[in-house]
Amino acid sequence: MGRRGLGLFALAFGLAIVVAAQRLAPIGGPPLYDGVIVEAPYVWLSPPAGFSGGAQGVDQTVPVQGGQSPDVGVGTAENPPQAQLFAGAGFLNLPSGTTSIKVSIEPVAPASLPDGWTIAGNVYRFSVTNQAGQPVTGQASGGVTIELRGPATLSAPAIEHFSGGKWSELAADSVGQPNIFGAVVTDFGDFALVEPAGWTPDRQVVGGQYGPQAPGVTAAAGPPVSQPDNQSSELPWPMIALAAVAIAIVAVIGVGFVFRRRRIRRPGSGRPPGRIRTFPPPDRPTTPPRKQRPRTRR
Amino acid sequence: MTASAFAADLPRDGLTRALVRAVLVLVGLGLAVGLRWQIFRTSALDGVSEGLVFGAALVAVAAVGGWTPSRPHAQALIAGVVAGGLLVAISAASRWPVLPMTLGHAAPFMPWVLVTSLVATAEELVLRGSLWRWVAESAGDVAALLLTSLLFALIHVPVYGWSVVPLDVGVGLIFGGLRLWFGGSAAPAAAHVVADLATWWI
Repeated sequence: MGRRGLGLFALAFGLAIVVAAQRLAPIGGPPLYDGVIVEAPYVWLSPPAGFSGGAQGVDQTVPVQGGQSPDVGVGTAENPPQAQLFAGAGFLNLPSGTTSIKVSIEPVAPASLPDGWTIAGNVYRFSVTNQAGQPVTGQASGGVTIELRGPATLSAPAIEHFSGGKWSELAADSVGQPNIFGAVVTDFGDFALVEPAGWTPDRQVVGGQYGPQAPGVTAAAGPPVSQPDNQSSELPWPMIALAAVAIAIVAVIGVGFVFRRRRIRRPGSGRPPGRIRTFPPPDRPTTPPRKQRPRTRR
Repeated sequence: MTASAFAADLPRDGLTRALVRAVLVLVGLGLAVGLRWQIFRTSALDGVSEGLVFGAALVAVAAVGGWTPSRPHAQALIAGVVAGGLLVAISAASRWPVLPMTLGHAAPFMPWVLVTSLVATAEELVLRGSLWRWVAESAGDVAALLLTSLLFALIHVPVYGWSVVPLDVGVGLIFGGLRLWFGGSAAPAAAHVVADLATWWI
């Protein structure tokens, strides 16, 4: 296979992988493949000592035309937003007579704690109503998502929904930005990113310096955080180990290729003698014979 | 500026030298990724500055690896733009009918465009430029394709997580295919820049 043939194969195979990856586990938002990440520190509603407070809410009114819900995209003011709501056009169930939709996202203190989970960050109350205050819901066919940003590196996050006095778990999918996860919803209320019990946030960084470690706080005082254990989050050792193994495998394969090619090129290494070419050939003169000029008489 | 060109051909006995250069570029790439991850993790710099440092580090690695600027072919650039547009279209189609909307941008447009383009181009100069050349010289095109595609996915893990690995391996193969077809890093760099810049709008 020539170089261009290999290129064509790589293009086709890569395209197939991209399509399959996007179909099976789509990256739900930018960046697609890479980019410049600008992420402000997470802000808490009730910050643990050493962490920043100032979590913000948002209220936005969206006009409705033609009786169909419009595209809706609302997010809190942090950068990137810590809580967002997206609804495609027509994916909200509107009460009759709706002329506008009011979307409200507010950080609230948790009413209770989900069993077996630690709330990672703030609890956000999502409210979507029409101009008369009647509740608006999302269609069961999907198309309405909420996205929550975690305060730090999250390993096994889920999104919990507090409704009817109890928490229920929703599948949390990465949207392709660091620590931001989304879930499809049909009704609204309180939502929170959660991690398995025992999770603690990373240390806060203020002005390039590490701030104090987060002490344990109670649910009443703010996000439930137990005693910190920052040692485990210093370096992603599993990732480093896996990358090292992968690189080592490729390196071994590469070295194998090199030695194989060298063995082929070395004279007398088993290759048919007729195909070994040395320069200059031992049985030939190093310089071509000069052409003799015909002698002419003057 | 995005095409890879090298001052001199390898000497006849240059296999070992090529392998050493490949390892040097690998080490440099690892250091640049580690530096970026450390900056990201500690929030020591804002995102644009972080990208600037990362991009500059990668350009330095590419230069150490033997890359020198040359004029790219228009055909390669056009093909790269088309490939980048295709990647954006696939991403958008996979989320149909709901397209998440951008709720304000993390940085002013022009600095973001410049730094994003720098990072994308610099990654290609290292992966499909310097590293590709030395690996291909020492172990062949297949090894260069596999190694650079795998590395392309791995260098994004610290910031974006493991979920991007399958997608980025596929994208790495596509960029490698462009490198094989057009013979330089201009086409993959153009595709990479287009795919990254699209994130401003979608």
